[in-house]
This record gives sequence, structure tokens and C-alpha cells, in this order.
Amino acid sequence: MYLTKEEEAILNGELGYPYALAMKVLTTVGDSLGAERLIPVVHAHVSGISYFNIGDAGLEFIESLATSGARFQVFTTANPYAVVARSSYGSLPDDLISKQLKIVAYLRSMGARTFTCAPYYVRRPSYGEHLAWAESNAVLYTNSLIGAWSNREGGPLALLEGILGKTYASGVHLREERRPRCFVAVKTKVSSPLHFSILGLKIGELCPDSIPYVEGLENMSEEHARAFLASFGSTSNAPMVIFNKLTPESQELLKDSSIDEKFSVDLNDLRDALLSFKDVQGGESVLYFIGCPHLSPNEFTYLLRYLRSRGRRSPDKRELWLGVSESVSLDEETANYLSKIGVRVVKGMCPVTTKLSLMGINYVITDSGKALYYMPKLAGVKVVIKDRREILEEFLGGVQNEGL
Amino acid sequence: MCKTKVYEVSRIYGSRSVCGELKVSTHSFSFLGDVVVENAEVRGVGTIARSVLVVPAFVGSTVGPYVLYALSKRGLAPKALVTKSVDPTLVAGCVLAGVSLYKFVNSSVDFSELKSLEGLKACIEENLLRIGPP
Repeated sequence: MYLTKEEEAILNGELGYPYALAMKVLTTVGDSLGAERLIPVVHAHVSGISYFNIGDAGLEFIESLATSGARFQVFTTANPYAVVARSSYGSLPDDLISKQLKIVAYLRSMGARTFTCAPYYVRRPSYGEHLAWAESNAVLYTNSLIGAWSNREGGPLALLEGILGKTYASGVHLREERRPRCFVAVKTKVSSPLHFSILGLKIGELCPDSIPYVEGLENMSEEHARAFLASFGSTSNAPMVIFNKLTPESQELLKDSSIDEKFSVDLNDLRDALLSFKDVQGGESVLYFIGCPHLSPNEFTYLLRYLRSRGRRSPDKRELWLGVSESVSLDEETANYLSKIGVRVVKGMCPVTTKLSLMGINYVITDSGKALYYMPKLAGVKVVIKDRREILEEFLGGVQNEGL
Repeated sequence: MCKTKVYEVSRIYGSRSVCGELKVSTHSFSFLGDVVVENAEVRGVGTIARSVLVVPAFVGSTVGPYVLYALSKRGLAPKALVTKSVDPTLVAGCVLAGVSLYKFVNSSVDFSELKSLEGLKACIEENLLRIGPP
């Protein structure tokens, strides 16, 4: 790989240990992928923030970087952390909370701006920008809807790329790698975020490691696209989806591609998937959760208005958590009202990567296909997927869910 | 007398020559969940500390590098990993931990045959993995 004089100097230790280590990792990764050079990035987004994901090993590593003077050289954000807030269900053990807060503090000391899985709402990328993002939903969003360029980095790699402000010129940083090899025709009208979530999971299963070209979703809203992409990223390794007429240059990308597999998805495929989901059994400790990925500013505003206008009949111990970026502001009066009706705004936090079973939660009811996929493994809970409206009605109505 | 088995590998990172006890997982391997960091034990494999660990593929993106790093800090990391497919996160983990990484040239390597050789001495030199009696 060709390195500039400045890059060579960093590799040789002129800026100190953390930068030399980052350069060593990045150049080795780049070499293994056949990259000819490094390229500057304008925004790095780090994943692997929850203590439950990275454990003491990850905390040790981040601590070693922060305490040896590593600082992010470009605008850098990080994924949300485990839910350290106390709730009506309980809270995490104090020692785990302490470790989680240390991870957050170290990353802040290195210059992380905020914690969210939707960095595109913190700093919106521009078409053609090169980024070093981890977090699958964010990478998929920025490649597929904006036309910025980012590989699906692993968390530690994105962290090191933020320290250097560079990435390797390989993968979807190269135009020729942004071509679809899998074609999917959606033959049914899809209208709810829930259905888009399920569709994303399904198409990810059909195209687990190749970029799909998807026809039939041309009128999809941004909210629906996010639900689709977040779920797609759970079942597929691909860094982007090319939506016909939505993704910048979609038709040019299709023209020069060679499609290996073609599929068609219709309503029966979605119906079958939805029928396989069971409901909550009576007597379980249930949490309602909306916000995977983190809610957009519009979604959050709408939900706050809706919750205030409806109120909650017979509030009980069950809570509704809304996942939003740490940078979202919430006035005290609204926060107090929400608290009274059992709504908790978990700013900068992620219930999906929190061992919720340690907080006494058995079941989560959510509208997110990504949460449906990951929470049983990561959070140690059973998950039920329902439409957002149904979740709100059930929560606000105070209807006790007696199960099947 | 045991014959030496030889496999062609390409070096992705690390030493040009390394030796250790052969340890084999016949399934995809995740550092998160499959390894006890305190003693480098893996169910069905035993300890992977200072071994030449052979695995079809490594899965689980975010945590792998950190676990490998933690093993390395405790002196319990494998000396080398040999696998069929390599991704950037695995490469990053090996560099962070100082663990050599190799890839099989022939992707249709027989892992049940490799498993039968577990416990023997494995040495990698000049892009050849040789497995034979200790």
C-alpha cells in the first residue's frame, strides 16, 4: 500500500503509541483487502459501546487508548450505551453501571460528540463523502439513501479510523464495488413500518452477502426505509441496498452489474412471517419499546404530541421506552408528564444491547425487526413485534395483555 | 508412525514462521461467547492459549478484536489463527493482539480430518502448515 510521508511518520511512532497502533491496524487491514492507499474521512461512527457487547476486554482497550492520549481527528459519534437509568422494573447492578459509564467517559475524553445509532441525524452526510462508520443501520442508510460511501466497519476499526481520520480505499469506497448482484422484486404494497421491518429481514435472508437491487419500493417514506434497512442489516452483511429510483444513480449501478440471483417477494411471504410471531404470555414482566433505530426528530415530536393528547388510562408498572439520540433536548415539564404516565425517554442508550433480564424484564413488545432479531440473544428477553399504533394503544389503554 | 500432513496457506499478518499445539474447531467460531477470557478455554476444544487455532470462519463482528486483545494481555492468546475466510475485523483483532493470521489457499479443506490431528504439533513456515507428531 502506498503511504504518504505523513502516514509513514505516524506508523513510525512520531505521534505516539495510539496513533502508531491505529496506523498499523489500518494499513494491515487495507493490505489484506488489496487497498492501494488510505483515504481521508469526514465522520467516524464507532460501535461496540455497550458494556454487554465489549466487556472488560473492550473497556481495557478503550481505556488504554484514552489514557495514552488518543483523540479523534475527525467528527466522531458513537453508538448508544446500555441502559444505565433506573426504572420501575429495577436497574442494572451498580458495578456494571459504573463500567458502562467509564466507557462513555473515555470516549467523550477522546472527543466523541454524542451517542446514538442514528448519526445521520446528528451530522447529515453529503453525497459522495467518505465515512468510517460502524453500526449497520447507519451504514445502510447513508450508502443507500444519501449516496455517501462507507464500508460496514467493525467497532474497533471505526474507532481507530476516527483517531486517524482515515480509512482504506477498498470495498464500497470504490465505485465498482457498489454494484448489485442480487435482484428482488417486491410484488406487494407495503404500507406500515412493521411490514417494512419484516420485509427487510426477509430480503436480508435472500441476499445475505451481496448488495441487492430492490424494485417495487419507489414510494417508500424515509421512516419506512429506515425500518427496512435496520432489519435488513440484521440478516445480511451487505453495506448497501440499491432501491430503484431512490438510491442515487440506482439505474446506472444496475446497468453495469451482473446479477447472480433473482427473487420476488409478495404478501404471502410477509403474512407467513407475521403469523409465526407469538404474543406475550400472561403474567410476564413486559416493557414496551419504540426506537430501534433511534427515533428521528419528526418521529419523536409526533410521539410526544400523541402521548400528551391521549394520556394514559390506569397507569401501571409497565413502561414505554422511547430510544433517541443523547443530543435530543426535552423540556422539564414534558419529561415530568411522561414520567407520570410511565414513559421513559432513554437518551443515548440502547435497550437492545442491555441485559434487560438483569433488570427484571422478561418480555419486550416493539415495532422493530432489528430488535426482534437481536434482543433475545443480547438482552435475554422474549420479544413480540407489533405495529407502532397497536403498541401505543395497548400501552395507553392500560389493557392487560392476557396472551393467546 | 504418524505422517506429517501439509496444507498450503497464505500469510495475512504476523510471523513468517510459528509453531504451536494444533487446536481445531469444526464450526464457525466466535470469540464472544466461545472463549472464557480468564483461562482461554473453549468448549469442545480445550485451551487455545499459545496454540495454532484452526477454524472454518470467525463470526461476530464487534467483540472479537477486544476478546483477542484481552487474551493477549493475559498471555493466553493463540500464537496463530488459520481460517478459510478473513474479514477486516478479524485482521484488526490480530494486529491489536499480535496474533499471526493465515488463510487456507484451498477453501475446501477437510475440517474433520484436521480435527483428527488435534493435539499434534503444527508449524507454519514458508506458507506451508505442517502438522505432525510433537
